[in-house]
Amino acid sequence: MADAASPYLGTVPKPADIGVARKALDQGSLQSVPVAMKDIIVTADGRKSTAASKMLAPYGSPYDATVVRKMLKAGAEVVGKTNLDEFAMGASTENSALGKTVNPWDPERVPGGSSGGSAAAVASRSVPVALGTDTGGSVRQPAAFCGVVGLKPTYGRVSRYGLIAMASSLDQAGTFTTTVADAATVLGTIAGPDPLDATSVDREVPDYRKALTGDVKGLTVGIPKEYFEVEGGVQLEIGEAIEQAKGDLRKAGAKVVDVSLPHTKYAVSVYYLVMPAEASSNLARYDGIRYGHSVERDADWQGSLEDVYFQSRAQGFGPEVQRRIMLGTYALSAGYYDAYYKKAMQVRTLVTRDFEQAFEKVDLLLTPTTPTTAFKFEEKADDPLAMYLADIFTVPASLAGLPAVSVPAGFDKQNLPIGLQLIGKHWGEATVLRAAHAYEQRHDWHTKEPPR
Amino acid sequence: MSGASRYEAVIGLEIHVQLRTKSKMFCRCDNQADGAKPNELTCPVCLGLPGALPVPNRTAVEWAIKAALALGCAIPDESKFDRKQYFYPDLPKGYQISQYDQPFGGPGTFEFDMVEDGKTVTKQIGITRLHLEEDAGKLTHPKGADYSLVDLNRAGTPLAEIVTEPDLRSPAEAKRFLQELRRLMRYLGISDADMEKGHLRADANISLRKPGEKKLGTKTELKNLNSFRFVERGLAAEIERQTELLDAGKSVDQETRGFDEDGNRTVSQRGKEEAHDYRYFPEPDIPPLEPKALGIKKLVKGLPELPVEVKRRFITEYGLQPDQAELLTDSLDDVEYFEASLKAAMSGKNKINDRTKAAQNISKIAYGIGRQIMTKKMLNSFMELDWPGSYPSVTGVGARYLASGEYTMSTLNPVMERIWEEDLDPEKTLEKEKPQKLGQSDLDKIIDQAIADNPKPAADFKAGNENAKQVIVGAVMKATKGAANAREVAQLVEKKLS
Repeated sequence: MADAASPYLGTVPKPADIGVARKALDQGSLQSVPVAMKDIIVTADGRKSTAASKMLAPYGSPYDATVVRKMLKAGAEVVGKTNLDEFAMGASTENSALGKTVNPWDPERVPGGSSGGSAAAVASRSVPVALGTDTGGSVRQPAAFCGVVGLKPTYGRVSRYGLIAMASSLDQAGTFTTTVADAATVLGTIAGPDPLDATSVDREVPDYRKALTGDVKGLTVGIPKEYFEVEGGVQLEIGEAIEQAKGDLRKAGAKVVDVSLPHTKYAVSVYYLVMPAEASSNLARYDGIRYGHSVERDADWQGSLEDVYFQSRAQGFGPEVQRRIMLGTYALSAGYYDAYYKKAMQVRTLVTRDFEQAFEKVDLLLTPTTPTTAFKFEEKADDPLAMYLADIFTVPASLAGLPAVSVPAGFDKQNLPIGLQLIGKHWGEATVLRAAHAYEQRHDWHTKEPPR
Repeated sequence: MSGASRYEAVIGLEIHVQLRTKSKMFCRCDNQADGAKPNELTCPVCLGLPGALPVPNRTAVEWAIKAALALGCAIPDESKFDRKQYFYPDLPKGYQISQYDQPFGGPGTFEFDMVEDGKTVTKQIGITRLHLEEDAGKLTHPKGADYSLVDLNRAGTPLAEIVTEPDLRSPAEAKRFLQELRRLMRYLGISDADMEKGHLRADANISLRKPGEKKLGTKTELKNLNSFRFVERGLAAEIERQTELLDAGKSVDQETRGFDEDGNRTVSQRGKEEAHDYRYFPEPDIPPLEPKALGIKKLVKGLPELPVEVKRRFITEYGLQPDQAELLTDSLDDVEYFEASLKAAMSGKNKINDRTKAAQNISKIAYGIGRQIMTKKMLNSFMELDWPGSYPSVTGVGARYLASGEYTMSTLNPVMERIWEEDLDPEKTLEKEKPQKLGQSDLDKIIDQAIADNPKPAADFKAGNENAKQVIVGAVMKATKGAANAREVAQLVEKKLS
């Protein structure tokens, strides 16, 4: 069992020799680089693949996810599996049924989520690289909370084979690194079509490191005004960080303009219909029959087939998972489908169209990653809606399947990291990384380490 | 069938056809589950393991479209898969990947001929839709055990589900439709369509109404009719049950019923109120498909001549009887076999010039001797065997010797058997083994002897028992080792006794 506040589930890796890894990474190589995997990415290395759920606590995968296979092939070494919100459902990693992970910058605060363990592992310099998954912000939001670079590629850029599915039309593997250049290296390794994932797309994978020119000459960056009109507003220092970033990007050669994404205000509502609907279906396989938690493992247990389903699932799934299964089941039920799921998919198209129209004028969008910096444990745990709003800036790009990165953008008065988000066009990871890198190079925030 | 006159039966079918692709519908596992150990042919995808994703089998998709085209279905511009959700231990993912509102085949019409009251009638049955889906696994319930066993070898096998309009009017017609559908699937080469092996599974919707009435009566669904015989018997039993209810002034409950073969009756399985909400929604793991992009034109070109067309051609072109044509067109292999045999019969030194005669002789040989030999050799259904390549020419040569009168069916039979079994040269062997021609006086002597050996039948015949002469004819045929013509012998016997 991991220690009380570890980023990891299962065995905690020995402290890595970051120096050796650094050398490889600086050359764009992953040879002998220790890597942590969010425990929703399955590995066949003898470690459990739990999704931080009691349901899968005993589960070992007989196969490696495609991203794992690609990382191993590139020479990386998987040294641990990281904590997360159960089945990636949450924004604080508090929903993990198997362990607690704290924010390395302040142990009273959450690391964000759902990939909180991966973000904390990289932020605390336990590993230089970790993989996570991002469905509505689960890479970018914890990256922002923990002060590291978190990249979510275009939907279809990276294989989902072996990512324990939450919402299939939104899930995407993403990277946690301390620098944008490392993100480019890791993305170049895991990107590309996979015959085992019908939604992965066969498009040329550019040399992302080559895209990092240090400038943003010729690029136009849009600031979507709706992101500053959200309910509850944006934390003051985060607003200031965006203002400062606009200046930085201008200095680096970009044009900065205001744009409008009028349907932004519907994004969270749409997301919380589409995601639970797909999740309710994806989680149906955990039924206590073949693997995972089952009441039938108890030799004395007796009951009907329905009892196996009801009791195994009631015991195996935590409250947030059960909440989403119920929401999703409801949204897909006969008589409600048109009003909820179908309508949500239609509005999703409108959200996507907003982006397409904006990208006719601009190359990138600059937004805050989160409305606030890391919050305290328990602060939102009993208020699902408040927790859902933590995703408000990351969800729209997820709905549209766009690539986006969160990069460190300074610290607030409490010395908590701030993240800013750059959203690119479909398949435009190279441009996203180029701008993020140009911005990163103008500050030393990415070199700051949390107190030990 | 007293009810048949008072009520008209309205029957629609839902048929599952198991496609015999090399691999399963959404993974690369072997699709041929026969003989495999339980759960041997499984992988993370068809086991529904965490993180596994379905990738559609292109061949299965093409075959579904091919079947839809052959059934006259409209092919949509865009098609997609959907999830049909329910919990059951044989369903590893908690949902079945199926198609809901955009199937590969839209409305169509399937045409076939059947003989009714001695006349050939063309039937046109509306096809509502054809969609592609994956099969579930298999549950077995060991006797006396408090558990069930799950075998997922079959999970993920591609199934084409075909739904008909309620256009069928009798159990015989429903059975016939299924037989024609089986033949079509075999022609297309996409399914073995063996009902006994579950390659072809049928459910039927059935209701009764007064003749002339437009409105449909309340229907029941009859599940798992797993043989052609059960289709006919099950539907007949259900018609009888509904007739009795209606006659007694009672109403039919909408429900699912099963056929109890021992009791020859149908029994209630599930009421309407227990109907599932399957919560269909578009399968997010598989992008929508455009059948056009898959090359429909090529698929249309690749379609074989359909069974109904071949059969009609065999009747008009070769002068065959409908039942002969039926047998000779059972599979594309059979059609090829027949036409190659015909070619062989109509060439060579003692070739047959009359095509109808050649066709008749081949029909006799192929489905007389040929069938016997194949059955003996393979102990298997003739229909499913591939003829060895040399068989058509052997049959053709046999037909020629039959036509020339040098052999009768009885004398040809054992020689052909030897040719096939020992792989002999047909021409040389038939020439060498030619039976000696019987002279008229020889035959007279043999007949006289046979009458003398069978005084009682002879007396019976004289007393007016027509059939009694068969004993004497049989004795003659035996004595001549089949070289005589039975009809001619019968005439001679009759003449001698009267």
